[in-house]
Amino acid sequence: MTRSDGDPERSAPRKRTRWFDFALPEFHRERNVARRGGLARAFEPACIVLCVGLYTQGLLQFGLIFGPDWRVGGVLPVALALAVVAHRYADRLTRPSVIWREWIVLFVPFAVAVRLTPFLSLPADTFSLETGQWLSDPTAIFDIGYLLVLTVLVGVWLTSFHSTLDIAAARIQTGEIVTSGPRPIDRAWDADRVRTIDHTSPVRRLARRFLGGGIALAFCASVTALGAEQRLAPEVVIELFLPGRPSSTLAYANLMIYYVTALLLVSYAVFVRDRTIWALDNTWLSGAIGRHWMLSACGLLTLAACLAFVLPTEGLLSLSEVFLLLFGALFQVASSLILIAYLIFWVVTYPLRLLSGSAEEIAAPARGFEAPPTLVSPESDTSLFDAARTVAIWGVLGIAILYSASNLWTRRAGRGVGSLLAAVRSALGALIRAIVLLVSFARRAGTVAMDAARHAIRGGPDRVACRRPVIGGRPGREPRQTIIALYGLLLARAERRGIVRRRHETAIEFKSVLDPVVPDEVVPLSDLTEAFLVARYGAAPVAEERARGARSAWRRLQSALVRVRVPRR
Amino acid sequence: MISLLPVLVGILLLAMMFKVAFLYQVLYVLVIVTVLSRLWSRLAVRQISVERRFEPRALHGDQIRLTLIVRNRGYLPCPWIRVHDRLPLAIATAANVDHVFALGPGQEHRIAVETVGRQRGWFELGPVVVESGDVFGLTRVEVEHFTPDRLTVLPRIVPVNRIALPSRLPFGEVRSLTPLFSDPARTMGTRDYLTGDSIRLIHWRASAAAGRLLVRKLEPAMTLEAIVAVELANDAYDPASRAYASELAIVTAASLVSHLSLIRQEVGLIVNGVDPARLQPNGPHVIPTGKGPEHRFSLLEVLARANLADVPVLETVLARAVASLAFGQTIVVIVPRVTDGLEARLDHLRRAGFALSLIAITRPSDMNRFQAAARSPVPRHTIWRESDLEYAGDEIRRRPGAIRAA
Repeated sequence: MTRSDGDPERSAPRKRTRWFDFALPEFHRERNVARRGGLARAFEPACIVLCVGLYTQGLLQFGLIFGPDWRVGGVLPVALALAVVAHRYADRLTRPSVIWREWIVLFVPFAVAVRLTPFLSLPADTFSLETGQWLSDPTAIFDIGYLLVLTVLVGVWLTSFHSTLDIAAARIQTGEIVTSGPRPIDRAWDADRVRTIDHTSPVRRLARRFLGGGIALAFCASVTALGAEQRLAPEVVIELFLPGRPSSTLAYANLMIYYVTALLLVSYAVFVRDRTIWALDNTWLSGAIGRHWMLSACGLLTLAACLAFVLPTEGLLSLSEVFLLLFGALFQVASSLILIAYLIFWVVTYPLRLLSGSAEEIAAPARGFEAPPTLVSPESDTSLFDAARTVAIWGVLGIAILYSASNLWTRRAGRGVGSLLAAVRSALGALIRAIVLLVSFARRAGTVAMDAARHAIRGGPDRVACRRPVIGGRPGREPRQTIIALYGLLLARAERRGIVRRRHETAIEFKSVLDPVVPDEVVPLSDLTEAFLVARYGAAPVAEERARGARSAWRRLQSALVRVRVPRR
Repeated sequence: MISLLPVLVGILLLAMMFKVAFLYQVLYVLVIVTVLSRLWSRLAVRQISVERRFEPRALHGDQIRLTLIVRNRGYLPCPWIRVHDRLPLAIATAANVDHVFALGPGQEHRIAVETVGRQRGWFELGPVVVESGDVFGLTRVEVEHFTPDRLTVLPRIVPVNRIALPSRLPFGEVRSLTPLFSDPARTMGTRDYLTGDSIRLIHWRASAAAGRLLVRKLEPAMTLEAIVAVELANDAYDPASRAYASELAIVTAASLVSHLSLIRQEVGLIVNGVDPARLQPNGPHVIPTGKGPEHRFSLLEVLARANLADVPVLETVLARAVASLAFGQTIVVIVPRVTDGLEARLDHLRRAGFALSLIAITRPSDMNRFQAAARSPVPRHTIWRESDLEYAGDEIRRRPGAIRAA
């Protein structure tokens, strides 16, 4: 019997940072993928990448019909590489988490590459000419062709990412097979509880995505092939990987291979889902079932393709006329029904019209359409605007590229260039933090100035309380409440880091849990815990000094809890 | 699970709209895949045969080995096939009889399961559910193979060593405590001749050796031709202990039948419960007395199949059921309680020439009352545990007329 289960080893929860923190994305491996055989390990990504690549090729062919000058050189290899990266990335996750920083890091190199690869097939001076234009006008980077290519790449990323996750969701999830428990009834209870995991919907989604999406590809292929010769030749395979104006044969081969590959992928996903269901039902499973399954799928598809070549296609084109006749008949029937209804209405309302005479409705003349007043654009200093726009666009692009490159360098390559980029990234982060600090200071100063002005105008006593950051509650709160509130903040912060105080845990027990997490702040943690115990359970009044000590302890713990990575309990 | 119909419709519309030949070929591929998948899975499943091999009769507590042979008799391979055998809960095993495998043309797959007969009964095995389908998730085919296989788990048989049953049939093979029926073929010793002794009893060889006349001492013997009547009417039992008491009655009857048969006595059975193997399952089931292991197993099978039913109580059917019995036979009546009507019926049967024995499946608290209420000379036993069967004869062993059957 073969049973596969996800490895229960899980990573720590992700570190939550503020938006201006230039922290590295963590690329946590949230699931150790269950061991698969060599064929299965290669079959799944091969099918996904091939489907995505064929779909991309079909879209590029479709686009070249309308814009023969569309620069798509090198887009297909880049899309294939991006599909591989998206598959490898999604294979690490347990759920479709959208982690923007990781996406940016992985996506930006391909977005940059796809902007540069068309120059490989263009004259050399084209690159220098266009880069000059980009430096003077950065919006020239984002021309329509590049935006369309970017859209295609986003589609490639999303399709490969979600398809991989769908197949992963069809497998046994971590903890789904309960093998440990104090009693059999406990294991049965847990097993029934986790049986709510749906393994069928992901497979359906995958099938809808590829088979239903193939209809759009068929539309594109049909438009591509209009008016062209239809034939099957060996050079199609070569044309498949070459950019340029496609032939109808290429579109045909593209669509046919796409559907065959998509059906193979669906067959694989169905097998993964069925194997999961069988394993959950404690079914004895033959080891050779996977081989027989995929051989049957390949054999059936081969037979279907061979039969499709033999069957006639010419006579079937007249079927559209049958539908036209059918629609014509329906139109005739509908027209007759409307005419009959009108006649009935005319006959029924004839006596009323006879009695009321021939009164004519006097309609009010319609008000004429008045054109809106023309907008007068204010005169502006266009040179300053252009400079600001150029700086802004290049700044955003530079930051994105630098961010992605520095992360990839620090993870993949040596420390030489990576440390330099990391230093630049830190400097940028410090600069943005300083800007944010200045903005907040200015906002606070403005608030104070507004309050002072309001006070000067009203001439009365200052009734507006000064806004200042308060830790642990409002000013004037009793020390007991302050300490309890501070301890509540500690619990909330710890919970955000993945450490939840369980209901049966006392404050001292929870402190022993937190001690290894913040080994440098054991003393403040002890102070805050002790203060909480006194405030919460003590009958004597709590001194103000204890509350101040709790505040200082909380400040140290607050900063310490931000940086920690906590193993899951 | 997955439907290609929307895709087929979409491609067909596009093909008709654009009149492009290769779209029809793509459509052909999808249609052929859909049709062939359905045909393949349906035809392949129809060629699957299931055969079950097992011993149809098992003793209580025995290991039962069931072998399921799944064969592919057709020419199409089955990419996957799931076979699930539904065993009754009473003989279900921890190992789930649920296998998934692939079968090529002409191949077979054997599934062997071992279980234990934990409960007597007549169990219908199966049906065997064979599920298969295509490899694209388009269709699933499930076929149930109803095999006419029945497994009979015989009731528990408790050793009965000292049970005492009365008999009025002399010259049998069972040693009797009553010297009324001495068997001339069973010499147990000699004694001095007394006046009045039959000359046929003189042991001439011993007399010659001893120098005085000695006569043979003969062992009393009887023929214990018995019929066991078991009460299985719902109304006769206390609802609180109905299940336990009825099962104990079955065990008692099976133990007696087995014991009497093993000592080569003729034994019969009267059961007034429901027997699902009969055309008219309700009503009294009378099996005439007989000998031999086959007859013994047939009686035990009846007891294995018998269950409680809403039928008339035993006392109302006993007179009709014993009408065909011969004079002097022993009737062992196993009932949960003794009513006045049953007492009257037993007294009537006793006067009609039958030897009677009454076994009551009664709680220990009711035993004394049951014993005290005994007015008729019919020997009676009280049983509430299976171990009581072994010592049930002690209480009446010294009763006049009782014959020890051991």
